[in-house]
Amino acid sequence: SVAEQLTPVLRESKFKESGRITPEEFVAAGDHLIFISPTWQWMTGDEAKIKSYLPRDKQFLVTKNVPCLRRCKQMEFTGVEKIVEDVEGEDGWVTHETDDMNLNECAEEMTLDSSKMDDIEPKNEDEDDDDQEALDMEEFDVDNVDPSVAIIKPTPIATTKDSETDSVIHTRTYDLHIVYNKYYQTPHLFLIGYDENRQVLNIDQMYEDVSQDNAKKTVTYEAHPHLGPSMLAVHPCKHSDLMKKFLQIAEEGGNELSVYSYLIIFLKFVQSVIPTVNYDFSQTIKTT
Amino acid sequence: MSEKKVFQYVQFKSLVHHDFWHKLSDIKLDIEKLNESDKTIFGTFTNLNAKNCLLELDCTSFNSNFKTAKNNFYCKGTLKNLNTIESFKNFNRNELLKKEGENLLRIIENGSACKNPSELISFIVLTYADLKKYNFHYSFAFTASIEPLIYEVSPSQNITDEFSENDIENFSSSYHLLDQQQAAFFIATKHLDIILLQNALDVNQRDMNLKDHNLDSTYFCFSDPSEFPYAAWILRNFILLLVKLCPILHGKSIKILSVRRDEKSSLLLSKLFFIQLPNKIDLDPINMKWTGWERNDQGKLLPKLANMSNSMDPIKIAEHFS
Repeated sequence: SVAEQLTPVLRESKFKESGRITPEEFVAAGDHLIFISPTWQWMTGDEAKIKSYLPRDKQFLVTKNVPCLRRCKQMEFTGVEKIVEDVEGEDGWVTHETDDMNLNECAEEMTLDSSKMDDIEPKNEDEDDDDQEALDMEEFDVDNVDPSVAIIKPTPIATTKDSETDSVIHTRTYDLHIVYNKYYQTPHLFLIGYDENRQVLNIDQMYEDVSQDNAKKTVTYEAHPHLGPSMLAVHPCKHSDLMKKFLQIAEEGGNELSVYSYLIIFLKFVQSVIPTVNYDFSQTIKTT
Repeated sequence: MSEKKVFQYVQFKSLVHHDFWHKLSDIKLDIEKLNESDKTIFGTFTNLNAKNCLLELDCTSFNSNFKTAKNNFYCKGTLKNLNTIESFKNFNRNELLKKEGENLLRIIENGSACKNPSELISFIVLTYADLKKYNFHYSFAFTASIEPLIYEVSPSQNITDEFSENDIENFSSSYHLLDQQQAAFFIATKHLDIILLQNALDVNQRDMNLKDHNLDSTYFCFSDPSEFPYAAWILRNFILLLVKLCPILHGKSIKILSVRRDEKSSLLLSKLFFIQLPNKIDLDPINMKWTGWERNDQGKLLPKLANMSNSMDPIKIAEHFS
């Protein structure tokens, strides 16, 4: 955005007073996050979109294949919601408290309650069936006589006995991206979801996994600054205030949070926006 | 004899991210236009917390100075983007695969695969971009030779069945220090001490290769993106390299170490496979058969289709901002 281009890069640390971080602190916190949980990794992104204020090979963070066992709709009638007091007194963040047990039970529940599955349509691939049929590649290939190929059948997580489609509901997965937002001087979470066949979900399907109170408000559809196409994004306008609040709570308790833990705390509060996306955040925040 | 079980591999599953298609359409519209010539691109895979044996492509596949993330490996591929659906359908896929296969043989013979083991992994993507309908038709191939057919001597084992905790720990630290290109395929000795291929094998003295190694305590290692009981497809090309460069192995039983990492980067998921190489192997390039075209999700040898209208069609995008 233009605003982002014109905003000077934050040079001095304002982490404690403002909850904002510099690009250097973003890199340090990212390195720490990777150290704690190695599934996160630094990415370069598109060469044409490199931001000069970040190291070339540390432009943004990604973790892939995060499971998402069920839809928010299914969660909302079992989960306990609570509203986190908002610093500005506007619409607060809604968090969902559930535990893993609850989650697994719910995955099983999906098998029984097909009425809730109504809007998960069977995929209609191959729109251009005509094109597909005309092309017979079998003749090009010798796979048919190759005994060394192992056939892998996907293992279903939960099944639904829908007599019409007899479709199998598998786990959706999400890739999470943490980008540095220069305008808000905070991390900015992007996410993209896939179905069981690793086909990208459409936007409406992805909104099913966003807390309904946040869908289209806190969570929007935005162009990824390092990749190009739009993805779901948790809007960063309130991040610094929330971070500040976390810091205050920690300090009142006699602890001081280090900037290294910034992204770990960040992930804890964005979890409330995407409650069904179950990434590993079991790490306790180290205080000094 | 007749009870011997053929050793099987899991093929890569291609995963093409949205941003790959966005970048491809940008490049087609702004730079390549009607140019159909081959383009070198990069793909990545990982053996850390691996799922579904994926080879992934995204917009960075087109980067000139390609660098992969820490836990990933990369491999080079050939992209052929065709201008019409007819040429896409009628393209001689066999010939393209054969050409890639012959290139594979060439880099094994001239020693560049030993210097840079990740070159053993190669792929082809044939595409047709219908930019009016935002449809991308594509076929992947992961080049591999049908020969040699190898057999399983005994069931696979876990790394902990064969090695002490201490050995595994030392192995883990040296493995994590390896250059990513070298870590794709390498050799390890009795206590899992790593030897790089370029130090172990000499293309000019093939009869001497591995001569003073005790095969009982020699482990042919590779970074395995498969989480299944089977080894990933890429092992096929390593086996091809071994039978090409080490005649001493023909007819012998060897040990394969499939290096797998869990989400904490520990190597305890790694597996050992025990295989036997055939006695007589026809390595005449003229007789070699190449395989590797990817099946679609229905298991058919048909191209895949990615419809990008949701993220490319201005009308559809506008709906989501309303």
